[in-house]
Amino acid sequence: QLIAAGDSKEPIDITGDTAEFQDNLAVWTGNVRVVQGPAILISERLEAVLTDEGDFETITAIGSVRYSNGEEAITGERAVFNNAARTIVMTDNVIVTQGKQVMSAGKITYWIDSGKVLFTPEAGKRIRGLFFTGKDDEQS
Amino acid sequence: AAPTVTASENESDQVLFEADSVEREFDDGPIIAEGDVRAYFGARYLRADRLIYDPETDIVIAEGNVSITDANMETAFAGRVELSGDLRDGIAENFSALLEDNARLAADSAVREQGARTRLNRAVYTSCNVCNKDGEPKTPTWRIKALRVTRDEERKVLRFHHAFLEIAGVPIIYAPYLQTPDPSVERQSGFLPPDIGASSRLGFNIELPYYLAISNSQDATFFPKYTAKDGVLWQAEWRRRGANGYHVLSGGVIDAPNDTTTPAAFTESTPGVRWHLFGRGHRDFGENWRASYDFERISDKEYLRQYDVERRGDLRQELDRSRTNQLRSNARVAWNEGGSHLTIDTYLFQGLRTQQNRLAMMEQGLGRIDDARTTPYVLPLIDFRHDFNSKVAGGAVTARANIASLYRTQGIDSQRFTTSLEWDRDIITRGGHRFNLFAKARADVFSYQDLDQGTEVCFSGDAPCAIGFPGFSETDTSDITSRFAPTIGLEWTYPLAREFHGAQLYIEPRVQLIASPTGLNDDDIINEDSQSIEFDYAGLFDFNKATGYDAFEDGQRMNIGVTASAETLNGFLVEGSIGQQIRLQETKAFNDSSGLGEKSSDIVGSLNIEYKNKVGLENRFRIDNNSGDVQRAESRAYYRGKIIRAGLSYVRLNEENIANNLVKREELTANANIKLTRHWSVGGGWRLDLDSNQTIQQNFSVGYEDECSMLGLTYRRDRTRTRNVEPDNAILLTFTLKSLVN
Amino acid sequence: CGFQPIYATRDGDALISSQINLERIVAPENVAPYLEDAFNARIVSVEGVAPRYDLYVQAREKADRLAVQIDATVTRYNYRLVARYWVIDKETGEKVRGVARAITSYNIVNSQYSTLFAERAAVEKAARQLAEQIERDMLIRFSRPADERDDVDPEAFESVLDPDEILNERRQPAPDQQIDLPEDLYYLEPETEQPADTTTNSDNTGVVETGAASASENATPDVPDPVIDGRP
Repeated sequence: QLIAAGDSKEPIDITGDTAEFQDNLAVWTGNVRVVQGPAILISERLEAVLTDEGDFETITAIGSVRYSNGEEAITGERAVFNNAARTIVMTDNVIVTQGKQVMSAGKITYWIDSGKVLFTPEAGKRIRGLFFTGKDDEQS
Repeated sequence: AAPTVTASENESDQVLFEADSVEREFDDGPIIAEGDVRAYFGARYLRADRLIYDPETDIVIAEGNVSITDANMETAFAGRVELSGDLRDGIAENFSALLEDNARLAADSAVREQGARTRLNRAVYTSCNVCNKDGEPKTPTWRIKALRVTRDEERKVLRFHHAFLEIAGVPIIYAPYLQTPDPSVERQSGFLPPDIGASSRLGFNIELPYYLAISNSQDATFFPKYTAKDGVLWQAEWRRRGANGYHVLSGGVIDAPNDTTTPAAFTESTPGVRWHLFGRGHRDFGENWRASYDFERISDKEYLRQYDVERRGDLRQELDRSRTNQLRSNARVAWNEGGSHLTIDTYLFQGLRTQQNRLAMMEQGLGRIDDARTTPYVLPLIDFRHDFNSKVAGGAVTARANIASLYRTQGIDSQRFTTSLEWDRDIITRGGHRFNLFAKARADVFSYQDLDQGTEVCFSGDAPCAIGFPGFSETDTSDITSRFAPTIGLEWTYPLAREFHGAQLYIEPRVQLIASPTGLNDDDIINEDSQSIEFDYAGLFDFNKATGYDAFEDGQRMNIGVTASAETLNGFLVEGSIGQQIRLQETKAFNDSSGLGEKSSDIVGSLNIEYKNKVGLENRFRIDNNSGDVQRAESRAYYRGKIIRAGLSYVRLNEENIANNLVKREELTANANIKLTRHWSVGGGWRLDLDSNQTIQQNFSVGYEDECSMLGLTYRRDRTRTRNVEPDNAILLTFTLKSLVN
Repeated sequence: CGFQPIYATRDGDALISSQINLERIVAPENVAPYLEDAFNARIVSVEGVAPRYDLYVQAREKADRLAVQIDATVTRYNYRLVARYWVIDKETGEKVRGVARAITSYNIVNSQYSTLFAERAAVEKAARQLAEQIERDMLIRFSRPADERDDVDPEAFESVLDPDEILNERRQPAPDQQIDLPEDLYYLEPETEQPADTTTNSDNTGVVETGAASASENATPDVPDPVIDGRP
C-alpha cells in the first residue's frame, strides 16, 4: 500500500508481509521495504507513528536494517527515522559503506537532506574505518 | 565484527584508521576523525589528536601531537601536518624527527616531496640527548643550526645551508654549506675526525682524513697531514676485501726541506722526498693454500719519528716493530692439510738506528749497527711439519724439516738444513702422576760462504761473533759442517689441590730429565737465529731452550720447578712459581748473560698477588744462583677502581751482551687515569730510564666523552732524540662528533 | 695433609683431560696455531674414550713496550695473552666459564733474524702457559662437586686486559681486538645475563612488526614512543 507522506517531496511507499493499523500506529513485519525516491530501507519489522494529519512522525526499523540511497549503504540492527528532524539514527554494530570507503561504529546519526554523518563509538570501543586515497576515482 | 572488505584494491593505497569519533559535514565532505586517531598506510603509521581527510583534494591534515613512523622506523613528530593521501609527502609545522644512531632533526617547518626529499626550514641537527634523565631539556654537547636543511634519502645525504656548529650552545664555526652522510648509512664517503696538534718537531699540524667508499668490497681513506714546518705529508690507505682475500695498502710521501744542520761527516743523506709504505694482506687459494704478505718500508731512518707515522687501523700490530727501530717485511706461502703444515717465508729487514747511536756503539766495540750491507735477506725460511695420526708405542710421532738461507751483500752467506723425527707420549697414572716421555732425533747441515766478512753482530777481525765462535777465517772463506743431535727425556708432574676453609690451594711439582750428547755447539756453527734467549719459568720446561736452530741445548740436564697458588673465597689470589736447571756439563748453547749454561742456572720464578682483579702485583724474576743478586726483575702494580685506574711497572735487566747491544737497563713507568665526572677524565703517563736517570716521555691528557661526542687533548713531552729528530713537546687534539664526523 | 692429586681417577671413570674436545679457538692469526698445539699437547686422548667436554677458548693479545732507550728504541716487549674459556659438559649440560692469562717477554737484539725467532718463542711460550693454566683450572673446578664450581664473572676478562696505557702512545684507539665471539658462544652465557662484552653482536632493539594492523577488535597498537619498540 502506498501512503502519501505529508510534505516530503516524494511519496514514501512501505510494503511488508503483514501490516496492522491502530489509530496512529502502523506496524509491518516480514521483509519490510520503505522506498522514498532513490532511498530505500529494509528491515524485518517496522513501526511507524503517524501524526494526526496522517504524516509520518517517526519510523523505527528493527532487525538487520539496511538503508541505501544509491551512494551510501548503512547497515545495523536498529534505525529510527525522525521526519521532523530529518535524521536517521542507526545503532548496534553499524557499518557505513560508500564506494570502497567502509566505516564501523556504535551509533550513526545521518541527516538526510544535508548528508551530514556523525559516528559515535560503542562504550569502550573505537570507530574503525577504511578509506582509499585519491588514486582511483570511482567515488561518486 | 570487522567489516568484510570486498574491494580488491592492492594494499598499498588503502588507509586503515581508527578514532574515538568521526564526523562528516556533508555529502562527500571531508571526514573528520578525533580522539587518538591512528592511520596505517602500508608500512607507514601516523598518529594525531585530530585527522581531517578531504576526498576531493586527497589531502590529509593531522593536528595535535602528530607522529609519523616510516618503514625504517624513523619517527617524525610535528604540531600540524598536511600530507598527501598516501601519507608520503606533505608539509609539517614544528617538525622533529628521530633518525637512526640517536640523531635528531628538528625544524620550524618541513616539506617532504616525492617521499625521498625533506626540506626543513630553520632546522637543528644533533645526535646528543636533548633532555636529561628526568626529562628537562638540556643544551646538547653539539648541534648544527641551519637556515635550511635538505635530507635526500635517495642519495643518503644531509645538506646544511648557512649552518652554525654550536658546541655546548656556543656557535663555533659558520659554514655557508655543509654536507654529511645520512646517519642511516654505514659506509658513506665523508670526512672523519681530524687530528690537530702543535709540536716543536712539526709546528702546527692537522691531519684531516677523508673516507671514500669505492664499492662494497673496496674503500679508501685519504689523510693528508699539513705540518707548518715541512709542508704537507700526503697519506692514503686503500683496502680491498675479496671473497678469498683481504688487502690493505697505506703510504705517505712528503717533499721535505733538506735538513743539513749536522756536520757533513755524520750526515746520512736525508732525501728531499721522504716516504713510507705499509702493506698487509692475504689471498686463499682453495682450502689449503694461502699466500700472505706484510711489508713496511720507509725512505730514511728518522722518517717515522719525525712525522709521527705509525701502523694504524687494520695494519696495526701488537708487537709493532717500527717502534723497535727494526722494520721487517715478509712474504709467505702456507699450505695446511690434515696433519701436514708447510710455510715458505722470505724476510727483508731494514734497520733504523742512526749514526749517532752507532758511534756510541762503536766505542764499545759493537758491530756495524743496521748497516744494510750486513743485514741479511732471508731467502727463504721453509718450515714443514707432519703429525702422523697413527701412534707408535702409544706415542705421537712428528716429522719436521726446516731450511734457512741467509744472504748478505757484504757479509757471511749461510744456509742450513734441519730435519728431525720426534716421538712423544703422555701417561697419566690412576694415582694422578703425569708422565711425558719423548725421544727426538735431529740432524743439521750448515754451509757458509764469505766467512771473512762477518755478520751484523760481529765483523771480521777484531770482535768475535756473538757466542765466541771464531768461525771467521781470512783464508778458507767457505765451510760446511753438520751435527746430529738425539735427545731423550722424561717429565713428571704431580699436581695437587685441596680445599682449606673455603680457600682453594694448589701445588704442582714438576721435574724434567733430558739427555743429549755434549759439545753440539761447535765453534764453526755461527749462531744466526738464537741470539735472544729469555730464560724464565714459562720456558723452563722447553726441552731445548734455544729459540732457533743454530744453537742446541746439549748435554744431560734436569729442569726442576714448582708452582703453587691459593685463592680465597673473598677474591684474594696468590700464585707463585720457582725453578732452576741443573746440568751435568756446561753448555755453549747460550750466552752467559742469559743465566743459562752453567752447571746450575740462575733461579727463575714469578709471584703474583691479586685481589678480585681490582688491585694486584705481578712479579717475574731471575736471580743469580751464585751471587743472589737480581739479574732480571719485572714488577707491575695496578689498581683498577671505578674512578681511578693506575699502573706502575718496574723493569731491571742486568744482562749485558755487548755484541747484541743488550746493555744494563732499568726503567720505571707509571700511568693513571681518573674519572672526574661521568664524562670528564684526566690521565697521565711517565716513563723514566733509571739507568741514565733520564725521563723518556711524559704524557698528560684530558678526555671528554658522552653519547654523541668524544674529545681527547694530550700534552706529550718526548725527551728522546736521534741525530735529526730533537726532543719534542706536542699537543694533540682528537675529537669525534658521532654521526656527523665519526 | 688433605691434598688430592687432580689427575687421580677412581677406577672406572676416565680422566677429564682425556675427554676434552677442543671445539673452537678464536685468537689472532699468529697465536691460534700455537694455542692449538699447546692444547693438543695437554689433552691426553685415549682410544675409545669419547670426548664429553666441549672447550671454547677466546684469546686476546696485548703488548707493552719496555726498556725504551733515549733514542726511542724499544728494546724489550712484554707479550700478554688473556683468554676466556667455556667448558660444556655434554652429558649434564653444565657450563663452566673461566679466565686465564699468561705473560712472556723477549729482548730486541741487533740481529733482526734472531729477534724474529725470539718473538715467535715468546708467543709460543705464552700460548703454552695459557693452555696449561686453562687445563689446570678445568681439572680443579670439575674435581669439585657441581654446586661449588663458582663462576668467574666475564667482567674479569675485560679488566684483565688493561685499557691502553697512555704511555703506549696509542693516540688512535686500538681497534677493539675483540674477535667477534661466534654467535653460538653467546648462548653459553647464562640466559639471565647479557655478556659483559662491549661489542654485543645481537641487535637489542625490539623487533617491530609494522604493516597494516588488522582491523580486529583487540589490535590496538601502542604509539611507538621515541625509543622505537612499538609492538602490535
